[in-house]
Amino acid sequence: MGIEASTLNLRFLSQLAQGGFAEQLTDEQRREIHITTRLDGEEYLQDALEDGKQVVLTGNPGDGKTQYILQMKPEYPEPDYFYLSDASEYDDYTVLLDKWKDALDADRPGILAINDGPLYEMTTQHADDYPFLEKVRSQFQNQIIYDEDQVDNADFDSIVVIDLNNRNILTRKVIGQAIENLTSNKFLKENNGDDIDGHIAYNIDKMRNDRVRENIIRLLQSVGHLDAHVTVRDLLNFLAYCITGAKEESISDFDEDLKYYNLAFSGSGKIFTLLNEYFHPRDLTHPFIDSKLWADAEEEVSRRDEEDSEEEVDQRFIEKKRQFYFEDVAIRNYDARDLYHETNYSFHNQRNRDRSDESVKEDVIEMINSYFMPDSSKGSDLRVWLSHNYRSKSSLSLISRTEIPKRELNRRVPQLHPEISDAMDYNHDHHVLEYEGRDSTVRLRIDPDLSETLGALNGNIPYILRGREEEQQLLEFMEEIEYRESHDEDYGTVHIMDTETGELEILTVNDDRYQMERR
Amino acid sequence: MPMRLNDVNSDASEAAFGFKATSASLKPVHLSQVVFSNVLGSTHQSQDLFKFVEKPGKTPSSDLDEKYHGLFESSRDLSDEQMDNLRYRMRKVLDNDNALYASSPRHSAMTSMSDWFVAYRRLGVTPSQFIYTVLDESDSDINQKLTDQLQDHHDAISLLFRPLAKDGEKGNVTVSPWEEPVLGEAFGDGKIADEFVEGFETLSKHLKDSNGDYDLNYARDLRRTIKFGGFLLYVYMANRHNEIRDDGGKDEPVPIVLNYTGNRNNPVADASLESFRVVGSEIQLATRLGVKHVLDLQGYKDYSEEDVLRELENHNFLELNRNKENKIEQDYEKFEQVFRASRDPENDTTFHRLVDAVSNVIHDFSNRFDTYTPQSTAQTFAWRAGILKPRGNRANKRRYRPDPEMLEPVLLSVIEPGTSMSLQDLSEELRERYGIIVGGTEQDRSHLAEWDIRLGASASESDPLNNQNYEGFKEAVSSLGYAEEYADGVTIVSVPEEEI
Repeated sequence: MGIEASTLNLRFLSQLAQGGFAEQLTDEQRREIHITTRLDGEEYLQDALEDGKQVVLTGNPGDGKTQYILQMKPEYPEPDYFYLSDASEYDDYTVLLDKWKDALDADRPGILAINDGPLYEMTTQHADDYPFLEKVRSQFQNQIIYDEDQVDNADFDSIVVIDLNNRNILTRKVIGQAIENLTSNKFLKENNGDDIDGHIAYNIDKMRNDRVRENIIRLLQSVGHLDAHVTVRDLLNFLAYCITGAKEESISDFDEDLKYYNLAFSGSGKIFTLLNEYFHPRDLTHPFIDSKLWADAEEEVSRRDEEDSEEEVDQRFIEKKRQFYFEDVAIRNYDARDLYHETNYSFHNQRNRDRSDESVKEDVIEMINSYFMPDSSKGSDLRVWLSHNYRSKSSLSLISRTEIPKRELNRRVPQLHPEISDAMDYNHDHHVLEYEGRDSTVRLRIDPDLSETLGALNGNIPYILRGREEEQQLLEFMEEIEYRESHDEDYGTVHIMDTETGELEILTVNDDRYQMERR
Repeated sequence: MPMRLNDVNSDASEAAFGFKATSASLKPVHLSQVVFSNVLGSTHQSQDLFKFVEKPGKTPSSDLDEKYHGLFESSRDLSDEQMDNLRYRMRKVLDNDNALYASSPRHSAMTSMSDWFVAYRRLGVTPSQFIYTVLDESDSDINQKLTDQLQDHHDAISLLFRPLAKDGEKGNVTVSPWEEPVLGEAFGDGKIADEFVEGFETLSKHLKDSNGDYDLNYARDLRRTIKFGGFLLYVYMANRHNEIRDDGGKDEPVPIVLNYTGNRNNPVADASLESFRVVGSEIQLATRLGVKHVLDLQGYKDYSEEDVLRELENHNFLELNRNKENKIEQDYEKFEQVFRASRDPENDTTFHRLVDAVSNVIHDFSNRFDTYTPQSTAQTFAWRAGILKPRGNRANKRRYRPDPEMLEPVLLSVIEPGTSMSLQDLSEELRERYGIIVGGTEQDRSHLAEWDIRLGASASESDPLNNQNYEGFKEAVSSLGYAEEYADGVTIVSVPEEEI
């Protein structure tokens, strides 16, 4: 009997590439694809277990919850420690909750992996019978906070809930590790020990190249800034596909389509979707890079002396540009980042950590003001507009009597609750403009979409041609603010905006008479 | 006495629905005028306001009475042209629903923000009376909340028109009690109106309280109330026939399939169109029962076929609003054709055939008898209110796709503040109570089948109602800020407790 063949083979890699890798991986496989994150690498889990806490890992399938349990079990074995790796096995949550309760009563630390849907259901339906769920619920709802006052809303004493939905795994460290794991030498050997060649060997070789690796990391980091949750499974799926194209064998005679830079745009999965949506070579243009690549493509194609080559040149151009994303050596002084660093500039600019809240706040106020009044560049006060009618059409006129000084507004950046901030990386996908009323606050959530709408407008698009959805968000925010402000009944300056022409009238009502202001 | 088709039409509407739904002009803003005046028990008449916002093209500022110029400080610096411009802009604020005809105030409806703009009650009076009755039946403080909001004048619109409106005269409105339609009570167990009574009860909990500190009226609440009222009007009319028919109705309300697929070429869009047609024909059938009632009252049961034909021959049967002899001739010809062609297979009596004929001519799509039926009224109103898409008089193939502003109060009418439910439970609730079908519930197909609506197969997707459409609905609820999606496909809809 020979030695059992390693399970770390191309078949495994191609399974990863197809996304649907089995829940039942061999231990060897699990070890191989395990990526150390802050959760285990920086001893967050270990510390919690040693402090006698129960950690509830929640999030989406593919977030790697079970993986952490398997990773911890050898060092913190049952029955001293309590583990629950699959809540969905329980048809009746009370069975699970009884076990959980017993473990809590017996002070058994442990890790529970529960997807967020079931966890939500448990906390809403069973909190009466299992009071500890109240603690879970408050933590679940306060994973992200906007200011320090919210810290006390949750108690992290004996149970710690960590929602991996909020985790950004597209960090340099994690991506680097994943590339390293999947381009391991182990995959370059046949079962009989011979070296493989063909497309897989080509792709692995390329992806081990420092420059290519660096570009993959940068590109994926940019993907991580988008408003989308990417799981560890998505990342492995992407990288494994770039290597194998979901083929179990390395094909020696291969074409462009099996090269990693083309595969990066042709698979299916979260990262592929995001790349195609936001980083499509056709959408990200650059005058120098494009003309150079187009010229190269033309030269290559026409050398073959074929007619009707336009389409072919185009195809070649796209391929070259994809290649340039990773192997940006073709043009001196330009690199791949020149193509995408301006994607959603205004949002990233506002999100920039180096900028003070105050300056971002003024920016946002100015952008909102100029959305309604294109020639306004005021960042010191927010003008509050009202749109009111009963039919299903946008307003012919907007009206305003209130300005909110910027000191009554705050810019808030969501952050992880301090109790869990060491557990993971978090990339906020929005920030908020907050108005603090006398006893309640109103928040405008500024996400990339809203930010883009406001930024791109710059006052040049006529009001009636603008999309209503984002405007609705602005107007609702304003209506809530207006409701919380005090007003005089018989004195005030009213702005009337004709939305069809963009013309503005300003009229002061004073003691039942009008004063007109001409602009 | 010759028959006046228009009277038959409106009396039939009254008998079947309990109100006259026979106007092409009915807009949501008209409902707001009447409902709010009922809530307040008064209207507000301001000649000054009307005069001032009259189209400057019609009454130039140069012709305006000196007292209007006198409202402006240093009015000598204000040219007539500037004043025209200003009036034009100000007018738009009150004409934001495109129903301000200052020269004929009695048909006007201003976009109202407070009681100062609740002025005349002419259009949509009886339908609004019905809406008000439902609202008033609800065990809630919605009347008080609306009154508080409407009587407040701190908002920008009231402030803007204050010098013109504040001295207007108050006219009391006597709200005559709702009379149940003769053909069957609107309220009662299992009646759709009762669902709306409950709906207003829940909706009112979401409306803001005006306490001393926060004295401003809140326009969104006024809109929510009127939007929900408009939805009530439409759904009530759609279900009326099922409630008053002799042979006992179907168990489920008339389905209203909301098309959230984002396009018009798929089985869901077809089912939506089909459900729209079912609503149309149900309203027509209810009206027909009304016609039957009216003709019976007028003694037409005694007519034999010969009587009818003779009267038609002599041009004595109809009272036509025509002068030209050849037009009158054509009208009679048309009527006779319809009468001769009409059949009532069950009860082939002259009376039933006559009912059939009259009902058919008033619903005649060419509108040759100038009758605006409840069916057309409901349809026109529905696109104006944002229930049906596309908008406009000439659009065809309409489908249900409510505006977010319409969807929101409907959701708020089934979810209590501070509570949550799964999207699936929400869909079930909407289906059971209002007949709304979005996908996602087990009964969708049987519900549709009960109303003979078939959901066709899609070439590209296995179950578009439960996938694409349900997904689209989820997005619509999400973008209103009420839904959160969790893993394992659970989406939870929750509405926060009102903060104030």
